[in-house]
Formats: sequence, structure tokens, C-alpha cells
Amino acid sequence: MSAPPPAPLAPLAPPAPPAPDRRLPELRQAAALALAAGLAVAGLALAWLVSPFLDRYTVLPSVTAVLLASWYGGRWPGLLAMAVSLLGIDLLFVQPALTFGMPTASDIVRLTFFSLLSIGAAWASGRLRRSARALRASEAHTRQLTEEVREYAIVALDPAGRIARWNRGAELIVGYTPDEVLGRDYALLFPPEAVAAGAPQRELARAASEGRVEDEGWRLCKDGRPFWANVVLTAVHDARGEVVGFSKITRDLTERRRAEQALRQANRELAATTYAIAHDLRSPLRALDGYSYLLAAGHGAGLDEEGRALLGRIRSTSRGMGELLDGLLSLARIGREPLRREEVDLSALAARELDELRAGEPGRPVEVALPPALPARGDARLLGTVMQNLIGNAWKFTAGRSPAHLAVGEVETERGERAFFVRDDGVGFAPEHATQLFRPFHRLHRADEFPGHGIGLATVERIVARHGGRVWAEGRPGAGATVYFTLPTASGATLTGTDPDTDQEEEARQ
Amino acid sequence: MNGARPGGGWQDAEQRVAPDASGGAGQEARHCVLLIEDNPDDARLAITALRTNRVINEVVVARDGEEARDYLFGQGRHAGRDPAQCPELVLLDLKLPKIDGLDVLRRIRADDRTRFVPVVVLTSSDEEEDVIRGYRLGANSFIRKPIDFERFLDAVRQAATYWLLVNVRPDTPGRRAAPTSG
Repeated sequence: MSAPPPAPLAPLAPPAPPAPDRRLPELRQAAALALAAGLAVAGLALAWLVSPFLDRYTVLPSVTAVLLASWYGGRWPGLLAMAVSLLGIDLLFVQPALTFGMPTASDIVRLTFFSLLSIGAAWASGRLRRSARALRASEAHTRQLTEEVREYAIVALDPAGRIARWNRGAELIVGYTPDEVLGRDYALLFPPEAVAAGAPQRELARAASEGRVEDEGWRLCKDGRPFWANVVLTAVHDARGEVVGFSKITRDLTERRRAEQALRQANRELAATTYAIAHDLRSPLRALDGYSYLLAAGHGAGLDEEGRALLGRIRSTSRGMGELLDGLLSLARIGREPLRREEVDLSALAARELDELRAGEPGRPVEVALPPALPARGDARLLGTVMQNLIGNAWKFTAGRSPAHLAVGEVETERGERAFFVRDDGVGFAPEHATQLFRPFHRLHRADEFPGHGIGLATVERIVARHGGRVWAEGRPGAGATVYFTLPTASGATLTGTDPDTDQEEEARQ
Repeated sequence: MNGARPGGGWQDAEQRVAPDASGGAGQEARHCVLLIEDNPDDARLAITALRTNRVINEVVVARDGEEARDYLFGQGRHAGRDPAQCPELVLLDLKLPKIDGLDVLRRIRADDRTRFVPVVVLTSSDEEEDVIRGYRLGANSFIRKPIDFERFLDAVRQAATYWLLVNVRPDTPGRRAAPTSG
């Protein structure tokens, strides 16, 4: 930062295009002024020396001196160099030499031209220096921001993929210090098999063509330990649209991934346990019902009427528990089986369910509004369960209506989604219970009012959630209920969210 | 779920569990129904259902996959039994100890001597995957064991009527039909 004395710099003055590539350190104002004066004097001296041969170009070294002074020192040193040069030119080159004489008209033209040029240079360099200073400050700020971020590895790459910048977060996450990686190919972050498969280059190529690539996969720390990384690679373009580098932001998601996997595993085990329990509980129930039947059939004569009635109760109870177990089984199965996406007609599924219900209670007057087709995309078997539960509920809770009204259809929500609905004009429910409806084993009615186990809507909720959709209900006591659900069209995003499996790892490794 | 077998004369009379091999047993075993079921209650109810529906074929019960294999192929305990004298019908539970039901099915279909025996799977699961795998391995039919015993009776009646009376097998010309009556 200390100002170099002007003398050693004088040799810079000879007419040569100013080369601003190498920036001098900031000079303090006084030193800058001294330098400006020195440059001006050096320019004059050079002009004096060459004037016997090239007297038409005596102003040229001074112009150079002013430009250099403006460039390195700013506005005031530039103007000082101009003043010194003007005086010197008058002294040396305006006849008679070595006195301050009156310039001739042609001298005045030359000096005016020189002055305007100098003032322009001083003004321009002042502006340039101010904006350069602001730019440097802002860059320093940004650099500090990125350098100091610890949670993200922020890395700049040159167009060939060599590491150009390496922040503190990168150091903490990956383990290398900047000295160890600057200038090296960023492929060193990838596992060897990914490098062999060309993954780093492919990633760069994609970022260059698409602008931005997001990827999740294994990367390597300095010590060889793999970490699960979320990487966003963005191409940096210059004004002409050429790729001049890449910025790469990496997060270490190893912990989160581990937690997610543990959670998935726990969920799978829970579902499997529920399934096994529900499954194994069926077999003693079969025995209970079977033996009760055999007792009634083979030994009923020895029982009085109450005894036979009690046997009947045993059988109906075991059948009720069987239905409960079936509900549990289907609830547990939702999470276990892979989700298929196929074309499904919800209208047909509803019609099938209604046919069955009508066959069970042929006398009931129920008017149904059903569109000819209600196409959706999803797992046909699971959506069949959805319609079975919703239509079954609508049927059940309109038992007292004559005629009852059921409607199935679709609406557009205020969010612009397509929502399917099943509506009835049955007993309805209080709006404050709208969310409780979907809780397993939660019932709003006594068993002697409406039979049930409280699993149906929970099952619907789980199935719809697995499809990436949502479900909600509207109702009023005595005024019926409407259950809505959405089934987002498969755009991949919801599918990966709902069907997590270990395959991702394989994809990421290639 | 597997408690001790309930005792009683009825059971002993009905469940002739895989009789030991003897020269004279073949004729009789040829028209037997092989019930492969590990749960004694389920086995007993299945036999009752067969009897209630007037199926008079002998019912041989195998309590796990290994026993079923030994019986079918004349090995182990049943060494010497002629495997060509295969059962008229196999009722197969899928969840079995030792060798599981699908594996038994695979072995039945892999062996020329038992390839055409009708196998009706009696399952307590309704996992579609099991059903698909079962059919792929050559099961002839699937019956889900319902909790309601009357429905089970009905299912067994239909299956027995069809597979023992209606269905025609290639290797048993003019065989004796299992008589039923109203």
C-alpha cells in the first residue's frame, strides 16, 4: 500500500499504450498527486528529448502522462498532470523556448485539444474508478458471503470443470483445503465408478445445455468417506452467451437420507406387522365361527332358545371382527404394495359398487347422479377401494332418506385442481369434525346408529395420499356430506415422493 | 396360532394322517384328497366342510410342506408309497412350516407323476402377489378362507363338486366318481 517514489516509475512514461491489466495497489492521494506530477515531468522530458526529430508530436508524451495519471491516480492527479504538462509545454515548446510566452493560434488549438482530452480522461477515469471500487466492494461482500457459508459447499468451476473457487463450506463438508483442490478437475469429488461412467462430464454438459442441473447422489470426501449430496450445478454465461464457468452448490444430506431410510424401514415394518397381526387373527376367528356353526347345527337341539341366540351373537361378533380385520389388512396393504398408474374410470368403479349395494338392499329408493365416465389415473385396485368406501358410506348414511340422493362427479377447486367428489344427502356431520373423519378408528356415530369400524375414510385418505393427492370433506348435520379428493396427474414429482425405494441409489451411482 | 391338536375320537377317525406306506394302500390312496394345512382348526373345519358336502373320498392331512412332499413323492416317512397313485385333489394352504405352499406347488408341477393333479389353494391371505405367483406356478383355483363358516361350506362344496365330479383329468380314464347326493 505504500506509495512508491515517483522517480522509479518515470520510465513508465515513454509513449506506450497504458496497460491496465496489472492493477497497481491503491495509492494514497498525496502519493498519487506526486506520481502524476512525476509522470507529467517525465512526459515533458521525453518530448524535449525527441523534439529535435519529431517536433510535431511533442504533446503525445504528455497525453500519455495524463492518461496514466488519471488511470492510476484518478481525477485530481489527472488534472494535476494536465496542469503541469500545460505549463511545461508553454515553457518548453511555445517560442521563445524556456520562457512563459504567449502561444500562437496554432499552439492554442493544440493546447485546447490537449486540455479537453485530459479533462475527458480525468472525468472518465474518475467514474471508472468509482464503479470499479463499488464492484470490488460488492464482489468482496459476495465472496465473503459465499466463503463464510458453512452449510453449503459453494464451488466455482472453469468451463473445463477445474475448481476455481472453494468456500469454507466445501472445506468443511468435503475436507479438502482450497490449496489442495484449486485447479484440479472436480471429478475428484465423484466415486471412481461414477468417474469411469463419465458422470462428471455428463453433468457439466447438461448444465451447459440446460443452464441448470440438480442431482442427488454419492460423492466422496477427502478421506474417501461417501456422503449423500444434493448438487445444483448452474452454468455461468458471459454477455455473448458463452459458458465461462459453472457454480456448484452442494448440500450434505447423508443424515437426512439416513433418517428418511430409517423412517421408511420403520413404516414398512409397521405395515408388515399390522398385516401379519390382522392376518393371523383371522384364523382363530374362522375357528370361532366354524365351531359355533357346528355347535348350533349339530347340537342345537340340546340348547334352549336363548342358548341358540347367544351362539348367533358369537357368530355375528366374529364376523364383525373379521370385517374389522379386513379393513386393517387393506389399510396396511396400501403402503406395502407398489403403486401402479393406469387409466381408471371412477364412474365405472362407483357403478359396480352401487350395483352390489342395490343387490344387498333391493327395496331402497336411492337416486344416483353418475356421469357416464370419470377418467382418472391411478392404481385401479386402490381406487376401487376408495370408491367402495365412499359409496358405501354414502349408502350407509342415507339409510333414513326416501328417496336418498347420491352424486358422483368432478369439480375444479379454487387452486385449479381437478377434484372428484361423492355426495349424499344423508345424516351429514358437524363441520368441526371434518378433519377427524379421516383418523383411523375415529367414528362420529354410535355402532347401533350406523355400523362401522372407522377405517374406511382413513383408508381413503391413505390411498389418496399415496397418489400424491389430498382428501377433504364438507358437511352439515342432517344436510348430507361431500367427500372430495384429488389425484394429481403423474408428473414424476409426486411419484418419486410416494414411491421411495432404493433404486434411486443405483440411478445416482451411474 | 398352532396350539395342541384337540383330541377326540371324531378327529382320529376322520383325519387319517398320511397312512404309512404299505402295498395295499395304493388303491385306496389313489382317490384321496390331500389336504395340506398346518393349522389344526382349519384342517378340522375343512374336513368337516368336505364331509358336510358328502365328499366321501379319504382325506389325507399333511401338516407341513415337508410332509406333503414326502407323501406325494413317496419319500421319508412315506418311502415306498407309489407316487403314481396321486391324490384326486390337493387342497393347499400357502403359509406352511418347513417348505412353503408355493414351493410345494412348484414341486407338484415339476414332477411328471403329479403334474396334472388339480391343486386348489386355500388361502387366508388375499395378497394379489400370492395369487399371481400361485397361478403362475400352476394352481388351478384359489379359495380365500372366509370367516363366515357357511360361506366356506359353500366354497368347498363348489370346489369339490367341480374338481372331483365335473373336471376330467387326462390320466384317469373311467375312474370312480366320488358320489354325492342332494
